[in-house]
Amino acid sequence: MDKLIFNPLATLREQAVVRQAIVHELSNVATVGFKRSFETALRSLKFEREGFDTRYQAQALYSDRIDLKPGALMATGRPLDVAMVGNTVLTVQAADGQPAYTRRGDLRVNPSGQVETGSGALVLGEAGPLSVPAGFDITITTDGQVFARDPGQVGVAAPAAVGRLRLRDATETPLSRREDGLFQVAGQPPGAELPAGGTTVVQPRALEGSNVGAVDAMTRMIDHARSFETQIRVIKEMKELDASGASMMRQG
Amino acid sequence: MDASMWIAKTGLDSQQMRMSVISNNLANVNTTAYKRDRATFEDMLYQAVRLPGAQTQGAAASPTGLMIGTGVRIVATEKNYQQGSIISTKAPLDIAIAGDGFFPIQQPDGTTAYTRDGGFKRSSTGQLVTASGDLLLPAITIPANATTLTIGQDGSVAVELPAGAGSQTLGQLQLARFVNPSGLQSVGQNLLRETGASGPPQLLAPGQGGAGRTLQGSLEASNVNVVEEMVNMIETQRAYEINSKAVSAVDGMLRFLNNNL
Repeated sequence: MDKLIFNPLATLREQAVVRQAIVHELSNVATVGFKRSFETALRSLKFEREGFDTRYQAQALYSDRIDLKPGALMATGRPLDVAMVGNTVLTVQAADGQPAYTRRGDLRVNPSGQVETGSGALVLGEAGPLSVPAGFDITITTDGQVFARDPGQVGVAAPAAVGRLRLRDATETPLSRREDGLFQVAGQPPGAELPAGGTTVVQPRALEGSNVGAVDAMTRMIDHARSFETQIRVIKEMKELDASGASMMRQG
Repeated sequence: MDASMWIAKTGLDSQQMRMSVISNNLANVNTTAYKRDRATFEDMLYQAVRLPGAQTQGAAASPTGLMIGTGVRIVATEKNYQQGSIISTKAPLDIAIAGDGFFPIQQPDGTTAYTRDGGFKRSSTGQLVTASGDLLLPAITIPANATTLTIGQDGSVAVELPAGAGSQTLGQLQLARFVNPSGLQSVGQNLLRETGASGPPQLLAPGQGGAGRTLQGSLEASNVNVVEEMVNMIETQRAYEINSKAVSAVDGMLRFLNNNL
């Protein structure tokens, strides 16, 4: 049988992961703070062997860098919701204890008074995990300062600063994905932290939507489906070619 | 079968569940002191196709790994305890809470549940009960011959006795506050129950220690914002359609494969 049939097979196999990535993006079209991260390209690989001079197989090249393009801003009015502006990311403590980054800003206070994100990761302040006094009213300013005010205090109650969100600017440093969906510094061991400084701004009382463009992802899905069909076509042609060759050689 | 179909299925499931949350909010747009729910989404665990630092060519190592996602799920529904608007009803036993706090309500099984619905009634024994007949704690009994009943902003309950017999203070209402009210468990009938996540209740006199004040003759309206829910509903509907398109696209590919090979 002609080995050409393995060329479209290689393309199909290399692109299987692309389909999974596109569908994953589509299913997260409404997840708060979700950032798409997956880009792929195919390159041709020449086989340098006798009889293989016309064989170029496809090999996928992936890049898994977080795309910090902003998602839609949704004003919620909830005091503990923050939307990160520009390339600002929030430092949280992942389940394995290491610092990691996220764009989720749907914060809440857990029963022990610590601030966590909607998916349950502890939010880190500049001085370790951020805790707020139980039952206090919380406000967060645009520079990430967290103030707590005792609602029981009679008269004008001055809000007391309880900490500052550990916000970092990821303009200069690319981020990549961790297995739990949080971000880490690309090309560094897990737990490496971004340097302080740069512009870090949050928009209080708002949430950032997913930055998956539905049109964009759907188009890539269609493109992928057509490319899939083309490969199947080539396999089918090869099958017929081989069958006709076999019938020609049949004796009698 | 292809993993992408199952990923799209997680999207369909989550959007369906979010639609239930939105429908429940819209259905309760006129429920006294109803607090709206919000569904919280989370992207599911990622599979490492290639780990960071894997060898690529010669001594070169890939600077980033390759993580492929497996879909989305709903991690929690969270109540938003924003104050609803106060509606004046002029009924003497309607009490709205302006600020934080819940009325403790005794349950038939002896436990205590909590509510913000202050539409109380008088039982046959003269006690203050909820619309479904559960007793408000601490129990307050109104004498049968009382003429007018006043409830102060600090929760004190007093009645005027007939024929110049003067007024009589019957007691003081109490409000329960929680460290994390979002952790309370909704059990229906406008009632909430304490959980490990909400923390223990802190019983306070109205207006003290962060508890809200009690307003007689008013009720708290639902805090559902219809416009916001409508926008959420449209978004959910479209997201659902997008995910079902993804299923049909993958299905089309597999059908093509079956038909042509």
